[in-house]
Amino acid sequence: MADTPEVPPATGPRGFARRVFDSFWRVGWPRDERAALRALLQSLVLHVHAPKVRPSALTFRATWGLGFVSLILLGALTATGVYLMFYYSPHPSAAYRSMKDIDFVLPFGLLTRNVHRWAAHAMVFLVTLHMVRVFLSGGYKAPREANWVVGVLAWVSTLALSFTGYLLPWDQLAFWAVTVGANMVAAVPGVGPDLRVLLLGDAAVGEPALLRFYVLHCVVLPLVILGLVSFHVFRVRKDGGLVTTEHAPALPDGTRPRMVPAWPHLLYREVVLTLVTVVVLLAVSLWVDAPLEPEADPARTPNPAKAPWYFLGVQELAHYSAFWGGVFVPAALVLGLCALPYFDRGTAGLGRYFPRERWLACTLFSATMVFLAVVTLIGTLFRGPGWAFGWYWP
Amino acid sequence: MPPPVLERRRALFVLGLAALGVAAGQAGYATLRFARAPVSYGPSLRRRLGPLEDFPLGTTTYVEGAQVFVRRDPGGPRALSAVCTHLGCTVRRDGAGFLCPCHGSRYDGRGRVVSGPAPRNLAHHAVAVDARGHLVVDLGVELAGDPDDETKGT
Repeated sequence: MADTPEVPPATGPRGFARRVFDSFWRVGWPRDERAALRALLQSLVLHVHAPKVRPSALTFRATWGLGFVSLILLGALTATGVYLMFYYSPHPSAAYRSMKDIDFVLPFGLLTRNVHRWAAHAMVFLVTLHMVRVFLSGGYKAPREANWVVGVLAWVSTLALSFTGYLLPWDQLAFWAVTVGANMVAAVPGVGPDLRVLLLGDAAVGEPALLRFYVLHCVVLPLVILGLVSFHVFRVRKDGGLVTTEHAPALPDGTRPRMVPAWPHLLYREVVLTLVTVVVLLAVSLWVDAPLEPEADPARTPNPAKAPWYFLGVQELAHYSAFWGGVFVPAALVLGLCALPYFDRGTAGLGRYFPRERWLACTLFSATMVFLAVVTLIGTLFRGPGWAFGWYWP
Repeated sequence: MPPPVLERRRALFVLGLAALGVAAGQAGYATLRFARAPVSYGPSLRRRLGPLEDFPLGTTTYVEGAQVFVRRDPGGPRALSAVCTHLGCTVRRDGAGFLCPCHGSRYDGRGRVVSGPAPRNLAHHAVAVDARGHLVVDLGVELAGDPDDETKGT
């Protein structure tokens, strides 16, 4: 720590430690605004931030911290995921046994898995809320169209990561959730069954599917989401930060609101959000254990067989029509979200949630999201045994 | 008199850093505990070598799968490790003794170093006869020294 004003001793162990520290962190601990700006520009870790930010972008209700916390969760997921990879074995003969070892034998094994599981669920939830938040404030409009599309793709990647990870425990829940999910893929007209074979490496969930999902979950999709998220964060900055009402040209008296340096104003908020996220995640993981059902048994289907909760809305719709609910609605949703910024191009009311000027867009979007939330809740909570999903497996 | 604001801030900052240090230490401890598996994923180290009659008195027999030389002495069966104490190559018989093909360490018939870079004599493993009259060696248990030296000493 370098906020002592006196010149450090150049000799002795303290001086040596100081020289090593300074060689890595050349700008030192900033003592004034100028030094803070220099630190932000020169540090690899910090330069993803703009040196200065608008005060209105710092209020909690400007973002509710949704994107940043998602990022922290992604970090927690990567760390715990790597830990779990040391013990997890992706083969049907060993997968479930290694899960048992992680849960019951390894010191901190269950805690590691709990953190991974709850962070994954939280990330799906928060990334979705983040999207809603950005929509309602008009954050997808020019010049941010590309970043909105990248964000939608990152959202899809998050779902794909969760879905592929769901199979790995190789218990009944995992096996049948993925069987249900893969059968939704098979409902794509024409190429559906071929797509399922492409996904599973076989006609049904088995050894090839487990290996495929493992590689997708641990290598392919993490690289994809890392690329998308890096670009996403980069573009947030390049596109001029958050959309706020201050984007409106100057104030009535011709002045603009004063920008504040990101250090300490933004950085300290990030540190606090990180700490809160870690504490909540650990607390939940200490209290609630990730489920582990009996080992996967292709011969015994649980009733009802359900997809992971974030796909239960789709499963509920697919219950009415495999194609319309299971394929058309999700595809139309993703494509529609990607196309949205290129058609909805009005510039009024940006930076406010649900502004009068955008009542139609916000109403339509909210209605869609509420509809999805409702069918998800129905699928999750109001569907017990005898869901009449007979058409899934004859 | 209350301490100046800056001093109090600095104290709180150091306190915060210390808390982070404690948290990092705990995480490091947990990582070490997690990384050190309390279970073995390898195969069992006990090997059944075959009926005792297959090893006649006074002979030395190499058992491939277990990497041991079985010696039937009047004192009892002995299991002499064939793993060179230098860098772990498998020694082969050479006259009355053993020769390591990797770096030329030589041992005599009881596994004692004669020449070469080997730092220690060949190890003896625990060996016993089970209920069916089979010789069973436990490669996980290494006897301290040569059991024949011990019998001589007492």
